[in-house]
Amino acid sequence: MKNLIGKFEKVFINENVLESELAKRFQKLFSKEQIQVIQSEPYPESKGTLSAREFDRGKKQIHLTEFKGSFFKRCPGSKPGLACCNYYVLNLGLQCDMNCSYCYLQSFINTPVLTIYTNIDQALDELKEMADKGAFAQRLRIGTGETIDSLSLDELTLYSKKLIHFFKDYPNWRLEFKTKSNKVAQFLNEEHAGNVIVSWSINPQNIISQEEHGTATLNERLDAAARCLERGFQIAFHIDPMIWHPEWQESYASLVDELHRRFRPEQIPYFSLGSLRFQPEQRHMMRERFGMKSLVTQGEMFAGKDGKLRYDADLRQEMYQFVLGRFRALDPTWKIFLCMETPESWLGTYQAPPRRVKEIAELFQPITI
Amino acid sequence: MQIQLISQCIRDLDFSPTKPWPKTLPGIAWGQICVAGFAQNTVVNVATHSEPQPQTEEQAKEFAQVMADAHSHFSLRELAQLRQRLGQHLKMAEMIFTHLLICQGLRNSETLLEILDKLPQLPVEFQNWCEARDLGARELSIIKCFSEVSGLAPLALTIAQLGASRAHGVQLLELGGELLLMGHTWQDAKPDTGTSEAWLKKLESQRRPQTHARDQQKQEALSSLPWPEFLHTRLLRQGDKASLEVKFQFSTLEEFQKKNAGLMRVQAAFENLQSEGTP
Repeated sequence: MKNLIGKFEKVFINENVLESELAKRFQKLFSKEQIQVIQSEPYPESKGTLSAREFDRGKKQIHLTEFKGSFFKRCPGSKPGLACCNYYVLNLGLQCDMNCSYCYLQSFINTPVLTIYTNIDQALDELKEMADKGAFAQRLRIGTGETIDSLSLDELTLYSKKLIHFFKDYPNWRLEFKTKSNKVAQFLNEEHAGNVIVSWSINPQNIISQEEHGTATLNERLDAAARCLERGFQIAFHIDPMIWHPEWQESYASLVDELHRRFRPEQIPYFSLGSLRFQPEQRHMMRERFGMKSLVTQGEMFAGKDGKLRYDADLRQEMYQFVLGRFRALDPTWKIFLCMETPESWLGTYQAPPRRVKEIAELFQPITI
Repeated sequence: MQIQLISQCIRDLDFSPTKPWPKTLPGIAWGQICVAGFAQNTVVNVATHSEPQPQTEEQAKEFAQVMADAHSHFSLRELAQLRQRLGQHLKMAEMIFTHLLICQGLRNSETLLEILDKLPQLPVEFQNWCEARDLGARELSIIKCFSEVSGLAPLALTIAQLGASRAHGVQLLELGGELLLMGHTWQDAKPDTGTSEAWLKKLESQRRPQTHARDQQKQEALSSLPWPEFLHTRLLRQGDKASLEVKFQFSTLEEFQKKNAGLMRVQAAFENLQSEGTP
């Protein structure tokens, strides 16, 4: 916890949320010198597209404020032209304290601080209202890791506890934490309804070391997953984004082997696979922040159907088939799906659209809210 | 408002505007500072205050507005020059420049300022090329990655000398800039011929060597198929997919059936290729 607090230079707290539970907790955890009470937005001059320097500074400064608007949204993968896995997102903050070279927040964020919303109770009210309107019976997957890592700051916010407690009353829904940290101790003793999935975005250790700065090592992530499993939480993994490098086959083969060594297919509801992709304008920020020695900035990217830059379609298919083949060779019952991919990629990899792949069809059934 | 001799004014803000000032009109001054028509003999002083140069935010705003009205549009090159000169000669430079950008519909962002600071360090020919092609800051963002802009100078100069189109020039700058940042030398990256199209192809293949090799392999494999003579085929890369384009012409059903039969004969050879694992 000390290390985590030490990462931040400053905490801005909006005056109108000073009495919130979260703000009170932060006032206890951080020193008076670190905290600044403000009436409006921090750095009002830094609106719009941020410079690399402003983006970097934003990772070291927290802003506690209220979210005004609707917390609950569909995952951005639910777009025409991409096969969607019915994932919904609950955004409880914006920005991340870790620093992955490929992070999509680099093209998404226009606020120069790491924002954490204090009104989580309002988010839970929104979910309750939706349940009351009939969504209670739907098999929704709701994730909190879209615009902020679900758990890397959880020791500070303890939001996981509130969410797990809330989801106890909604056993048809699944709450999904998505993280690159190993911060799980704070919620392991919480009672839950067996509908909480703690998921890790993973990569081979050489990619973690080179591209996922400030994140937990692969071993730390897998250890944390094992601890969650022991306490009855479901776990999942996202091998995403797969990053091409000269030794990619060896690296990803050893990652699959390690997963197979430590876990069994019936313990893991699904794996998702995805390859490197980003909005074209993001390349400017990545180039400035990580230089051209990064495997991500060096990537041979082309505009895909959805406008994002991706590897050549044949190469993507080769990478997916390789990983899928490795899993299948070890045990054909591993459940694996492609994240944010085109129907062509599905056909190339599985020779079938996702709803016709037996192990994962359930994730792709259309639902209405 | 009064007319005075330009010799009574300071002309340090002359940022070499591209658009010539009408010969028949006097220049414009704000206090003692000439803001437009730097080569005229007389100027009209439009300041509503008696200070020789802006001293307050309100005056800075007024000054910026006068400049914006007089010149209507500034290119990046002009903004870069003006920013330098304002900084050297006026106390309220930063505030004036911020308001000038607002008048131009631009935001005073760190990104823009960094480009404006680095652009004048590149060859004048390139600055003029940027101006003629109306480039924006975003299209020049590779400049920010160079701590020593001089490293980019030969590339920038060659783009200008080739008279590359806007679209080609932007791609050449980005691909060439990335290659230099990746450790390639200018000797590797410079054009072999005198056209921007050929140079672009060269830089594309250097920047994406794996894909280039795969495409070539695909092209060779497809060329080895027994294509009938009447067919025109080529490998076409569209975004993240490389696929084969096949073209033939016909005017009667009989002709179509004949050519289609010829095309179908390629199928068996193609199936053999695929079973051998050729992409």
